[in-house]
Amino acid sequence: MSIISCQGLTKTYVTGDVRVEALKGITLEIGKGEMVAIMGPSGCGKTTLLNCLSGLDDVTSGKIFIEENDITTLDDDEKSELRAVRMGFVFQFYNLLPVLSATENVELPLLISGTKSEEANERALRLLDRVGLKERSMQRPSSLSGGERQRVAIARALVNDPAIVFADEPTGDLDKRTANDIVALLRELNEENEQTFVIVTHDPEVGARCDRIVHMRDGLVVSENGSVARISQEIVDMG
Amino acid sequence: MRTILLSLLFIALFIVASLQLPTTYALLVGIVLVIVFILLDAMGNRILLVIGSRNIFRRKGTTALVICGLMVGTAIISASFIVGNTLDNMIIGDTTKGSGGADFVIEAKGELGNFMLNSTLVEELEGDLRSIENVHIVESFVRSSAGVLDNETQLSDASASFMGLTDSLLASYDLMDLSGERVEGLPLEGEAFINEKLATELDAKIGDQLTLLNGYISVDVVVQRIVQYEGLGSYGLQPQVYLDLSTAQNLTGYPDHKNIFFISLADKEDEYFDRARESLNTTLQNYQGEGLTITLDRQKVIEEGLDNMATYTSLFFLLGSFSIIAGIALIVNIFTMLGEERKSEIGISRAVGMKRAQMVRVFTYEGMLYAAIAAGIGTLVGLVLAYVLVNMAAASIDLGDLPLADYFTFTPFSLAISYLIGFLLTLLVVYVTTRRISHLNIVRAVRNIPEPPLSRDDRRGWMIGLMLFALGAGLMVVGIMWESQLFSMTGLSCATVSLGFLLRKAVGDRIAWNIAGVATLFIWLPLPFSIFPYSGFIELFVVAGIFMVTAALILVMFNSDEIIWFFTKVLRVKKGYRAVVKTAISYPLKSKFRTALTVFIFGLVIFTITTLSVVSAILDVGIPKLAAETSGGYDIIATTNPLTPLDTDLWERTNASSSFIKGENITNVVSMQTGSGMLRTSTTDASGKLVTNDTIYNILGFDSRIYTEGNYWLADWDKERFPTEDEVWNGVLENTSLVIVDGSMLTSEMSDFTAGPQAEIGDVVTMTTSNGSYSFTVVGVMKQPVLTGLFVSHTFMEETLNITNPGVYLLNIREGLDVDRQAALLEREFLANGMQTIPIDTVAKEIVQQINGVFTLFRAFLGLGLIIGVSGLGIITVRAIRERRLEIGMMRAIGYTKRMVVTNFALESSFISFLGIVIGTLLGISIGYTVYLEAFEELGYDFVIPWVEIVAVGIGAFLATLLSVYPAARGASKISPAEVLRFE
Repeated sequence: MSIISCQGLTKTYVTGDVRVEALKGITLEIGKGEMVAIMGPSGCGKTTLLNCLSGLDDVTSGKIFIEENDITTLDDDEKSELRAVRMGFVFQFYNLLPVLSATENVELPLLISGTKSEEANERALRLLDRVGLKERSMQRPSSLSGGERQRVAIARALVNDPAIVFADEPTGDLDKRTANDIVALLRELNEENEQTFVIVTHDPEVGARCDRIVHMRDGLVVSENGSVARISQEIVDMG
Repeated sequence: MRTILLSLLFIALFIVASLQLPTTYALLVGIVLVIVFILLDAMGNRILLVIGSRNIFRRKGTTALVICGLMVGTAIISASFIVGNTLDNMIIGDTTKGSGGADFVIEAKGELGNFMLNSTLVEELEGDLRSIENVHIVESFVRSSAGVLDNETQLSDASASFMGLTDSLLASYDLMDLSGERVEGLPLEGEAFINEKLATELDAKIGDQLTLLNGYISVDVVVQRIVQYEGLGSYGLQPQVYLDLSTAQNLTGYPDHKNIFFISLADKEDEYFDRARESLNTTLQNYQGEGLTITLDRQKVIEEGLDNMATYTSLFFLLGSFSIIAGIALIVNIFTMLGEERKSEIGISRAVGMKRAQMVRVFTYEGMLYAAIAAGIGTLVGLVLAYVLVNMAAASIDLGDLPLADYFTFTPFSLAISYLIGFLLTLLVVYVTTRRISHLNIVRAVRNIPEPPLSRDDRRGWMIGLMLFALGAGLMVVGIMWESQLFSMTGLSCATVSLGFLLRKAVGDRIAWNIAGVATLFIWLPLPFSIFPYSGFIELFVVAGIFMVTAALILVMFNSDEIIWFFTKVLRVKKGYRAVVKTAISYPLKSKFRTALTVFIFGLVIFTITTLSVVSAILDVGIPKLAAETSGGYDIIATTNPLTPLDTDLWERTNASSSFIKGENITNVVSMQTGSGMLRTSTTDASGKLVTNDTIYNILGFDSRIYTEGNYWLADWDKERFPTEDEVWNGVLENTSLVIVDGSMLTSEMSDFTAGPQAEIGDVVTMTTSNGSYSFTVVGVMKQPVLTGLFVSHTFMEETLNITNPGVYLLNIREGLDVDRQAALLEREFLANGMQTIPIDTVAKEIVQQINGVFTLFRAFLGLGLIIGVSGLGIITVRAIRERRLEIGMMRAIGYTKRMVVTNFALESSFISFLGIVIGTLLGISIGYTVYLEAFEELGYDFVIPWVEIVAVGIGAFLATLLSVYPAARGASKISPAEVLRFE
């Protein structure tokens, strides 16, 4: 059963007289508990697709169903609420709030969705423990390493027990070893919680650990179950 | 090398200017030299100038915002100068008006103003006066006061004067009719000219019949001309009637007599005035016994007036200095944020070889261009602002006959110096701020990583602390040597603040700064003891404001975690908004420097406004209360013209059937004889020097009814000689060498602002009249300050000064009647005696109104500081949004709605302004209480906190903040998360 489904998805950016068709009619299904990598060369529309699927960006045409609800019909507040309750996000540059401690950053989505402070704190600490950062929970982002910051970001993405976690280049800013650790962690969490992971990545190691790879090129899905080797070669070729 | 040589050359030029020019001009030259120096320096570093200037045009919106922020300080400086120019102009104009065009006026006055000189004496004196070197014109005439009744309108004026004109007087001095034509012909017998002032008061027109009453004598005249309130038309600044000389002389009861001499000099330089003054005094010594006095010395009056006005101008500067300091804090904030925004570029520039000094130059040149534009706009805004302030003052403060708004003026010098000071101030602040920015770590700057906090072992902090402590100790020593509260308290405050730097190594930042904050705040709180037993006044208020607000800020910033905890617990908001509260409070408290500066701006301004509100409220409530307490239990004080005293009993006249006022309406009358003379008092100034004060002052003779019928309380008396107040009054009645003085002579903290004489118990004061000089020992000081004079025994007045008729009446009016109305009826009844009344309650209310007017004006002036605070917050919000676009995107991604983003930024700014408002309000009330203890408690006032007003100002400032940040916050909510997360 699919948790994410999109049909005929298009997205066109208009800047002055220039029109860029970032997505050219994408139809895609992602099942519950799946860990899917979206790969392809730079500029093929991976991040645009992720932004549209998560409701961060509006589509030009087409439908997107999240748990059978068409999110293209939702207004901004409804989409915000959906993100707060059913989705988690991990970004390449972590995007933690520098003025909050690790725990406070993780608590934030819970507080937005109205969880009591004590419970939010307890759950945040539990997740930080799970990602191996219990001892560093009171530190601010500036005192953490890149890998640690990304772990905090992952904890923040998962703290609300979301149905779907969207990750945009989660290992893009990390060294190889730390990146491997992070991917392993994502996989473990995916298996533990049966949450759906949609990961945009250039990294073949990440793709290799996913259930399947959606291969994109020029705003279109080339294959819904691509080969890591082939895509990696294409990425290298096209830059 | 070139820079060093240039510096030396300019320093030498400045020294020469300082030695050759007056201080203000030397300052001006100094500022110009600095500007020329920077311009020359910029010409030698063109590439840096190009970078600096191009930075300005990168973001036009930001540039506009920065210029707005920078120009406020200059606007305040310029407004203060122009208000000063206007006050000076008013004094010069008013004195010129009052002089009638003469340089000196000599009057035959005597203590009752009843001396008249016969024609032989007049001719002799005129001859003597004309023989004085440089005396160009000598004119004599008669002038006295009279009650005037307009028989058409039935309006009357008891305080009018009449003047006897002569052809030569009209030829020598200006009298203009309303069309501006010079009046050349004299009024005929039975005719009169009246000035605009009297015409307005009587609603009189040409052709109206007037009755002039001077005691028994009256004369009817027809208004033939209305003359301008200029030249002779405004002499004495009174409503006036102009008659032919003989009619006027007859009205005085002294045909062929004159009593006033106008003297004008040919050369009007200061030295000629000095010489003429000396010669006039020598000449008058030959006429001792004729009651002749120089009653107007135009140049001296202007000089003294300008000196007095300088006090008010400096008050504007001092109060304005709060806003100027707030403006400086805003400039620091703006440039710190500009530096932070360009951190990466600065890092890259430094990485490719730009030196620190060059970096500072780039910012300085940029700042110079900003300052040049902002100072220009600020000067002009100050001009408009001063115009608004002057008009507000004219509308809200009753300055008697002074049409303040008509005197609005400014000098090119004021504009120039405002521009240059504003420019230099901005530049100096930019320079100091950018030196700090230029010390960043290149790698951290390139990677945009925040600077680490100063380590506990950092020697810089220790050195700063040590220098601050040394400075504080030095100032304290100077303060103790000079017995100056200002210096000693500033020194002590520097020393307490330095504890933060000095103790941090031993106990850590938080404890060290908490100790520094608490200690600094403590020394400025109202304490039951004096740390330094010296007096201080308004300057101390500015220093107190700066240190108290700084100390409170230190405490807030170093206890931020507790504050965040408190607010997140206290603010019970809708579920999802808890996250918003947390981030909204965390951001400002973690960005310590910029938040502290903005809170400082708000705190300082609210502090000043609150203090003024408290003082104003103390006076509001206190003055009517004090008036009631000091009225002696009487409702009306009535005085008659000394030349036309009542020859019958007041009680009898009012009980006659023809009386305008019904006798039954008056329940009590106490009378006193009055006279006047030159009072000499001696006081010791702050430096211990004996200062004598000579003033024409009243002397009043009382009998025992003053204390048996009423209750004039004494503020102080010789308790060793007289255990009770009644015994003091009785003692003065029995011993004619003793005196009780009125409450306006009471020495207090406010005495610096009162020009009148002062006296304390035990002082010996001397009164010189035409009968001789008399010394009195002060044994009592009254509470009431309205009925001014030396209160002596009636027997002294009768037997020594030969004054038997009463001149002052204290009356009680039947309860339930309108006192103002009864006072007006009294004036009408005794018009011929020139009776004037003071309804005590009404006067107290008028005084309150005046004080409120002045305080409103000051508060309006200070309100400018709030504009700085609000615009500062606007700038911060715009910048914060620009800096945090990525974080906003992330917040939107994890579920913040648009409304939550708006709320977040609105709450951030609200929190900053809230902190400032709370800090300023609490500290303002605290210093208001200190002012109360120092200046008002001993006068019997109550301490009052005007909560409604304070809360209204707080809410106003808070709402203004919300309004200023709302557009930017709304803009933030429209940021597309997908875009920023992808591209930034």
